[in-house]
Amino acid sequence: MSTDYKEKDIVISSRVRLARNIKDLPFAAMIQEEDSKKAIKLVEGALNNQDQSMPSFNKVEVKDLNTNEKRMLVEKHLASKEWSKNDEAAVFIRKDENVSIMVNEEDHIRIQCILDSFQLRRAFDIANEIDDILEEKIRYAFDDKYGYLTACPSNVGTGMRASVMIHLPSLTLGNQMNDLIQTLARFGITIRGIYGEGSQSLGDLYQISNQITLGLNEETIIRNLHSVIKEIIKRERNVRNEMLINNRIYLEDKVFRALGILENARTITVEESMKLISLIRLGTDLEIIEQDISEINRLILSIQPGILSHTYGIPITNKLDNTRAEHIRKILGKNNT
Amino acid sequence: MLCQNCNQKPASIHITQITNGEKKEMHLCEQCSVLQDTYNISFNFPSFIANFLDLGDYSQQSSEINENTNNLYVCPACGMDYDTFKKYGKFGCRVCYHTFRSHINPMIKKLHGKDQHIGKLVKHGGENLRLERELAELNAKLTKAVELEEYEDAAIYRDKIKAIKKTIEEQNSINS
Repeated sequence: MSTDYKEKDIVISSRVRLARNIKDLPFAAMIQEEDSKKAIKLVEGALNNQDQSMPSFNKVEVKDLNTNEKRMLVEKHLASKEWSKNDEAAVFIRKDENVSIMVNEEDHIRIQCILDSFQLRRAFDIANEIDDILEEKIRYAFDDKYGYLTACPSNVGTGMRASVMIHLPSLTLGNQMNDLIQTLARFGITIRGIYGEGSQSLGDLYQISNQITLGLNEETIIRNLHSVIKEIIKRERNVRNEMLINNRIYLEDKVFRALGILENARTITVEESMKLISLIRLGTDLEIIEQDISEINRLILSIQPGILSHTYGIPITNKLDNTRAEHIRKILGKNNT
Repeated sequence: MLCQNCNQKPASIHITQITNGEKKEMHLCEQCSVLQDTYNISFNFPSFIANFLDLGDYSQQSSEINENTNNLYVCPACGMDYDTFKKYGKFGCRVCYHTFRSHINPMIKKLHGKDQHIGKLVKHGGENLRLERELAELNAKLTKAVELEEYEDAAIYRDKIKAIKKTIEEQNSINS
């Protein structure tokens, strides 16, 4: 087992995205319907051409989806919101759902690989392999100076965005995030967080990714990001341990209260659930309570509106908060109905 | 405060992103924030790019572009003009990179710190770049061989370098 798996309590997932454009087609801003269809056909043809031993892809077209289905793909990170707005767009999803290829998003092709925990290098290798398969049939827009040409100059060069989803409750509790964000910006690395009231992020989850795509090769970008994440993990662990030593009762109180609410709530919003689940994750890692981390990660995904409404076959209304509460109680093993 | 996206519900999610020292904020309602691909918030990149385009280094060039935009700076392949690119921050096709090259290069350099791709190469195309990389590698080997007084190896590298240079020249004359 890879040593990267050891970080699974802190790193939720690793993602690598490669942006590519087809040589002889106009980019998204200027493309016509016929050429958009051509782009989808070209990708489909290239995937059908692939080695039969590889897992196959399912084609999903935006025009065949309802609002909820689009939202679900976005929540699962298999497609983006921008993609879902274009009726002439499609996504090819590999059966294991680790790989998706968006067609006609901002770029003609966006190959994406998402893996659990800290596996950036492996995610890159898989995306790179898919890139090679597509290139058997597709000629890319490429320039000797600028590399892979993308619709937006912020992606030109490698066209690669590598990122990890990381859970930093202690650095957040310890008000260290602003300092970290500013430090990393100087190294061309971005942290994006979702801040709720009181300037706390939603579920203390952050996405850390490379900002620079040109002038560095793929290996260097991955290596740099990997080292930075390792350092952040170290800082998060240090603060966790300090808190445990100096403020055990305070921490235990926060974790058990969170568990209490999640196990007993009858109605709950995404925002509140995420805040409390964050504490459950922290409590699990510090062995204050016993929960399965993978199960918690699945819980974070399954409480999102699109996925939840699909699972229970009910529309997204206020009543969904009741269903969410019931769902969480069931997952945490205390079905106090 | 109302949600920036739907302008209907109160904003309850506040997002801050700092990129290269530049702070951006978004205020969204819960529903819109969920739709924003929860962990993949996209900021308004066009305005971000436009900011870069308006930065000082080539202000003289910029005023020249503004005067002539409608006539000279229109991509012959897709028809996008420089003003439109500046407004949306997105190219219309691969040829735009050539059409606007002299004006976008400072912005690309500012954005990435560098302006020469050194990563993966396409299998079909990129021959010159591939040869130039090979040349740089052979030059390094040649220098090392001379230092170590391994003259037989050095001669081999020298001949290879000559051959590659010739190929590059031939390709350049075909392309020009």
